[in-house]
Amino acid sequence: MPFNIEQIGTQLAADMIAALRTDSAKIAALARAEGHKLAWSLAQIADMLSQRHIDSDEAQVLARVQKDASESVFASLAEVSRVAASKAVSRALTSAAGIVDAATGFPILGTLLQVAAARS
Amino acid sequence: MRQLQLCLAMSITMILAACATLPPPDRKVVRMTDALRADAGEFYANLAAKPSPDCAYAANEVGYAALAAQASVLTSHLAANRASVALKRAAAALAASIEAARASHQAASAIGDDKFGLCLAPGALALNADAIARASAGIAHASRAIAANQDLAGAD
Repeated sequence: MPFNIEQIGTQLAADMIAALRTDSAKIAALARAEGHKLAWSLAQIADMLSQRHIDSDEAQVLARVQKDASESVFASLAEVSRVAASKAVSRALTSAAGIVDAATGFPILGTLLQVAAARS
Repeated sequence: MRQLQLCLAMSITMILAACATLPPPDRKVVRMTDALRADAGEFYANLAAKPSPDCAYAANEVGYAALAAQASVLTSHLAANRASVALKRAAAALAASIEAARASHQAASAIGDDKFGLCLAPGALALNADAIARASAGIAHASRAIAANQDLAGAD
């Protein structure tokens, strides 16, 4: 795998929990599950890119699918607004972008986050 | 004694008024999201079995349209039934996931000269199927929780 999934998953989860500013155990558990899911998905995307199964444009769209899915999971919680869900996922991905983009050799997350920021 | 009777009457009136303002549990949302998840799973499983050019985006556009239509029906249902804001937000994000999944397939088929031809890479298939399943499961879970809370409130 291009990077340590466990480490990135834990980092993503911690950033999402911090961004959501919550002490809810339910949300924290969900963030941990989602963080590891996102990390695993990003590793799959990086792996497919390195094996030339996909190109960088496709990798970026696949990363967006994952980002939207994670936002949907958080937004379904009554305690979390759509804006907060979006910010939490974006903040987490921003903190992981350096490692993930270095591993893939393309600014996949960097570009995705720039596009997302321009839209909001 | 009269004060106690008055107090009880007021309490019952307040409880009935509170119950009347609660929307009824909506198990239809659970059924719709479960169906969407199952259909997305079946769609991607079938897609994985198709050789090029049957696996191309153009040949499967109708499948994405069907999933998007299901998400749209869900969104309309939530709006018409004054569902919670959380469910509406999650449905909007689910629709965005389906649209992004569609765009990724379109991008894959536009390249066409790699080892997968017009097909979506198997890894990408699995990721997209999982993302849609994750997003729709979140809505079903939230809807079940809301329904369970309302059942509890009704039982009080």
